[in-house]
Amino acid sequence: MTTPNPNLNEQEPFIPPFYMLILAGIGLLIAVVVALTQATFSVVGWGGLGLAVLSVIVWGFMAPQQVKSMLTGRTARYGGTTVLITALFLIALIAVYSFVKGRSLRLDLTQRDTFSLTEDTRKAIAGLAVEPNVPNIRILAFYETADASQRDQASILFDDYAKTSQNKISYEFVDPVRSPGLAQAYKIQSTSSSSISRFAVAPLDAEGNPIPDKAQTVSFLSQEDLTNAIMRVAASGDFRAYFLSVGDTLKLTDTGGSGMSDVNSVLKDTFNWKTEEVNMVDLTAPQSSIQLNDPAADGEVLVVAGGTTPLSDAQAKFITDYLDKGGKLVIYAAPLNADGTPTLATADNLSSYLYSNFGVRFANDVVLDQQQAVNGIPFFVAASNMDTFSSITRDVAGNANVFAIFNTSRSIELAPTTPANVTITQLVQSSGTSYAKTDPAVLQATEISQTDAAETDAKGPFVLAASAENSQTGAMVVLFGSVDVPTNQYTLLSQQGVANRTISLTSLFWTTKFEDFFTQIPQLAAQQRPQDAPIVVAPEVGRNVNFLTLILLPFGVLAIGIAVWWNSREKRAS
Amino acid sequence: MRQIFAVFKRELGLYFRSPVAYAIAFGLLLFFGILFSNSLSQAAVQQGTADQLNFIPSILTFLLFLVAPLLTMRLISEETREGTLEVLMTLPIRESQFIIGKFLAVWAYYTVILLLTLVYYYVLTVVGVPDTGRTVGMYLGAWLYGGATLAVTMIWSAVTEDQVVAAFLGAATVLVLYLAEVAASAISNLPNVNPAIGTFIRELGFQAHYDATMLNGVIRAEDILYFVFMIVAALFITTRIVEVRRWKS
Repeated sequence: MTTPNPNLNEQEPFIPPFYMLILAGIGLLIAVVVALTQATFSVVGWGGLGLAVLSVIVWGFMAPQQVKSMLTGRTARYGGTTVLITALFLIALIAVYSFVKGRSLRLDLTQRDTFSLTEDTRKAIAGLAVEPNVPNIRILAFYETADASQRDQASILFDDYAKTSQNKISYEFVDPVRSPGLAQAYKIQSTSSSSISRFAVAPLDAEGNPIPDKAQTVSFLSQEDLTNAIMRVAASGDFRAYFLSVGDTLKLTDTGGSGMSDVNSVLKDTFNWKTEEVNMVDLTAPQSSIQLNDPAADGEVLVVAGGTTPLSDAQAKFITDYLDKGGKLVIYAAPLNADGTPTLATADNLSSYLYSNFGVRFANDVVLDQQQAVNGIPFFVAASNMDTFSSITRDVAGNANVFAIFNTSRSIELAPTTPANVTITQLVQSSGTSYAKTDPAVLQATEISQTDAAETDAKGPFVLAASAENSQTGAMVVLFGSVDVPTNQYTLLSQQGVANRTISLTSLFWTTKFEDFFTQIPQLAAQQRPQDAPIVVAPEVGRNVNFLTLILLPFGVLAIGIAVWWNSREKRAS
Repeated sequence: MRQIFAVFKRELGLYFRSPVAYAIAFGLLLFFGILFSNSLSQAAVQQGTADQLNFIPSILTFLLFLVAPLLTMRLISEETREGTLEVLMTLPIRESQFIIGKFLAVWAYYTVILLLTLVYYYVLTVVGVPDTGRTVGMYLGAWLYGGATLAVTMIWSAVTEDQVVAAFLGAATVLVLYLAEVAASAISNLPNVNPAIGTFIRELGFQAHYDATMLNGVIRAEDILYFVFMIVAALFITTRIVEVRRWKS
């Protein structure tokens, strides 16, 4: 008697196939728990999902007959696997939906072009796309989770910006509640109902990160406002600051306490200015590459920081000629020379010109204050009395916690009669307790008592910084009594309420009309559409509308219903 | 297709012979009329624009949580309770054709009501200049929205024989789907919760696919697909329920 050979195909598998389904269930459970409890779908979650998928595939290979009957048999249509089949069907629908959603296919039917760019905007943005000097730009839209619908609307418009600009303009949604630091950096308030601005348009740096300092904020989702902000951000402008290097004037790239590297880096990196240290040879040589009063520049200023020796008459004439032609000058005065000789700022060849043409000049003194001084040292005058109207000082004026340090400062004399066409502004003043000494020996004092106020000393307040503008020639000058105002040792104290960096920068912005530059960029005006016209309801039209909507339509339908009911009643009766 | 059309014709005839359907239409149109007239007179004084008055479809979609269950509660539950479902199933017609025919009939009735509200758009063209493109998007969205809610409420009509229970459950389901956005927002604000969960819940709801986009005249492919898939899925589920019931009986 032979023993029939077992049919290998009918052997039970080593592991029952349904174990794979259990394993798949466990994997899926892990994935769901991770998804619900963790902020991100971590490796554990992906591992669980992968386990589930692999287990199902292995089950399919282990028991193909079970799979077939499950999908096509009677149990699939009427039995317990109906739920599973339905679930798989729904998952398939979700997968197709997700795929289509990723394609971002949309159509704006509105006649107002509310969610797509108008022709004017399209031209402006397309122009930016081909301009190589325009940086990449990011629109940051701050929406909380409750504003999801508005976010959807905004994304439609932003997609059009991105597409038209050939992805030079990108966008990003930020939740201000989850990212409060970012919202603060762009001055965005966190609540959706009281936001002062919701959008920030910022250029990107070389690493592709938006630069908050250069961002423009926009309050509402308005195509015109957003486009204008983009244009302002894109317009880098050609602004130049030339720092005169003669004798012992401050050095632009010096990173030490008495250098100006901080102001230099802010101008170049944040505001994209061109800064250059130049000497008189650079400026006066016939074939010089530097051309002052260059009409191609959007703004230009000459800065003279310090200098203990006077300029030659020819050099001084070069500067005065420059001013006569509408030039801009910011000058920081070096303190008294020990031997009483004039410095660059107080030499007659420059000082008398400034006095007669602008009504301002540096005095031969040093201002001290024993009450409002840093660390009680009278030479370090802490001036908080600043002009509230001038754009140079208005951002820091009126705040008792903010002051500018004027170390060993001269006072500024104002002419009793202002020259014609000239406007003088007293930017910074010392306090009423200040006094001024004219003896250079005071600078060698070793004790505070040697700096006490004497009867002969002039009493404050003194003007420590002033601006003057000639409306006829366009020339503008800003005088600072202390050469240390723009130095790193004070500009790097801006976080402690020291205003030196601010006024050093704003004096340059004022002379070059840097902030006005943005208002001159062509702006898109909101287009008027026929749909913006208010409705006009004549009394007769109103009556007809009421009759139609309140009587005819609803009661007409009711009458038809009653007629239908009556007919069917009669038919039933018959 | 012939079978579907036969069921469709029968059901549509029943709707237009039913006083309940006319009562629903009357109630809706009277409510819309009062709302519209009042808004029109206020807007005329405040110099509002025509688009500000073009809100009737959005009101209709909101009211669908009441209207849709009323329209669909008897569709299958009545047949089940009166025993006519088994008779119908002996006819040479598949369950899916039967369900689709019924659904198309109720959707057609809803379409008639929706088209009647175009009267308000016509009035707006007389008194001002409404945005026609936006109106097209609004009505297309309202039509699909209506189809989806009707399909969803049909499920409960297949589940239970009791029409009142079917209507109640249908209303609750539509309301839950309507408020999914609110729920998503609340969930997203919870700590240690993946924001994707909130997004997923929001995407399940009706408002995310109508309010932000179609109501404002923007047609997105995923929104159209959402409503179509919602109809397909609901009808699929309804068909499965009817098949299971038939198999069990």
